[in-house]
Amino acid sequence: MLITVLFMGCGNEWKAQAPASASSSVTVDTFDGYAGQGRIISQTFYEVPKRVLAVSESSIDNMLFLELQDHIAAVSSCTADERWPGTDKYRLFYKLADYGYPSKEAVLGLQPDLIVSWGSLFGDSALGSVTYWHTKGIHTYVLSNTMPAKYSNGRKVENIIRDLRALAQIFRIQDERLQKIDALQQRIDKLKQKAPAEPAEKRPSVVTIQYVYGNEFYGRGNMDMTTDIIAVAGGRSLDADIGGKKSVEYLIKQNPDVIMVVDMPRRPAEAKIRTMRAHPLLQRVTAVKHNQFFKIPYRAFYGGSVYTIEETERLHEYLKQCIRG
Amino acid sequence: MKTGYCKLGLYLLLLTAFLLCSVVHSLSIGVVDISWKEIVQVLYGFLIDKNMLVTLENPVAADIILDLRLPRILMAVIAGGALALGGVVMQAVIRNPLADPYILGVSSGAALGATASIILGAFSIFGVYGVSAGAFIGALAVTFTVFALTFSVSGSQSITKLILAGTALNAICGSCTSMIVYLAKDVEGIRDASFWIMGSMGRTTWEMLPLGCILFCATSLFFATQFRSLNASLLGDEAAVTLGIDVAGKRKLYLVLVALMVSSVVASVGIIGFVGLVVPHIVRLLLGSDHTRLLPVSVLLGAIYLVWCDVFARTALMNAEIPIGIVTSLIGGPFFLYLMMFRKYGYGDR
Repeated sequence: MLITVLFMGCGNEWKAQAPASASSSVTVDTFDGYAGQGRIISQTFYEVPKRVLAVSESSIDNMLFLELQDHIAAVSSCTADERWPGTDKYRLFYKLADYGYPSKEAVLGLQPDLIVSWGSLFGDSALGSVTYWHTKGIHTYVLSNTMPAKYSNGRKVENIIRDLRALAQIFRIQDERLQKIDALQQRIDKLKQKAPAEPAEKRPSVVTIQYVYGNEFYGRGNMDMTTDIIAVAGGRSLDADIGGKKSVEYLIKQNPDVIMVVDMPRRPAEAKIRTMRAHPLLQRVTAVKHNQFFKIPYRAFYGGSVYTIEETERLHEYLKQCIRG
Repeated sequence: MKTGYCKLGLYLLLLTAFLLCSVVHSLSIGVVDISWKEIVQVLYGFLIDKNMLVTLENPVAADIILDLRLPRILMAVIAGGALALGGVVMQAVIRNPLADPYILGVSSGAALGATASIILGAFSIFGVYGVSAGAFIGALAVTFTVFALTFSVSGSQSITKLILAGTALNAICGSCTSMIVYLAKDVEGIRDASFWIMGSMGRTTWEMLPLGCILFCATSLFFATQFRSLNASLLGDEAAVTLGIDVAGKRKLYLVLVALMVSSVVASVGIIGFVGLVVPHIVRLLLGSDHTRLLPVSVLLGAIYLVWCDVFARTALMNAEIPIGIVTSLIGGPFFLYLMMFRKYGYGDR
């Protein structure tokens, strides 16, 4: 057995080779996922991908935004929550795995030519390093806002445009779909221009809460995209002081004007809001006292897509209403 | 006596044959259908004629067999055998039926190292093997701290001290791991770390196999010469000394070997509980406490058990995997309880 393992461990010569044709190749930068070290890696696409595995709602939403549905071979790790617009389209695709992330074998069996995904798919407990997939001739694209917090400089709304432009480049998009991306960029720019003139400390303060458990809650941190969503919408994020699992005491101390509650398929925001409104101590918090809760769908806050920009615009309007009282 | 050895030889032959059949058969089981013809072609191409791999009708079959199924099945054999061997030795050396290789702090040290790597980015100098390296270093650091604390005294008292030091360090490392997870704001990183701790064969690559395989084979061969000492250990230190066995010296050597072997396994596949604890007990229930039988049969049974647990882990859900640490306890636990209820059980001289 020892000899067999040592012998077998010596060579992997059956690896797939890249196609020789480079006539219309494009090179795109992406990240290497959780099993990597936050490196930016360049990949050359010799052909337009025809069989894409899109993992997570934001990957699918970005593909759909660019009208690339015909290129999707399968989807995974997405929940078609009927409360959210557009999720009925998820059902049109073959779902590779019902629970968690698909296994390596299921992905190899699918024979995709590109995997568009969250960074955590390429972690030790899922598909492993992106390098393995590249040696098999399968490209990867990791959404910019899903790299581990330790390797990123914070997740930004602007990164959604970066992802869309990269995907457009990979799929050689040259038509009016590029203008759709430009229009999204303009919407972000417009929001930034609308930011109130007053100093940041006078803007409505917002915290993001994902889970509520009795006297404790789980808040998103300052490396999450919610911090940037709040800033772009014209609010002041307190997530840096709130992130992680904490006692409600912190919430009382921070006293936010608005609480942004993450709406998840199996953990709906409504139930969390009810819990906070019923909590006697939280009655002192401005957001609870004035019933100022903003519900953000999970797919909009994690990863990022056109829906993130829509939710940022909606938050902007909501904060304006809060200021008017 | 001669009949006893013949019987043991027959058991070992049957178990080895069953293990080989399990390995070959499990190559054909997975979410992607691969025919026996393709499996034979791939194995022939890999071992004898590499050109055949290039001309395969279905090249994905080669990728799945050679990159995914074969390394993980071989790792299951190594890990199952190593954990069961570790369990047999620990239960003999410590003379405690609750002992398993993890009592030395291997699992908690590995979990701490892996969590620090995944969430904090420690050990990133090891590149894609940062998590495994972190787990291996963590496991060895904690285990050798337990040894240092234990062997500062000598005599029978050291066994109690070993258990207490192991328990205390397990608790400290568990707290540190929980602290890292608690303070982490990266939910996906927490998920990754939690799944790592639950164990998986899926992350096995060819590069991970040689270290575990060398340590397992070398340790197995060594312990195959130690039946007499292991049997004497069960009778107690004084009885062992009267039989001319250097109890203290052998105990240290045994613990170091088990720690190295199990650390290499845990660093590769995460924490897989139950095998090291229960497989030796099951064999003891069926064949008695004599290490001449107990040790080789446990190693083979541990390997067979983990191969089939891995098959279950990768096929029970559609296109996704269950962490193998969950499967080993879920399947083995009820079976062990059944044996315990309906068969007479003895441990050591009791």
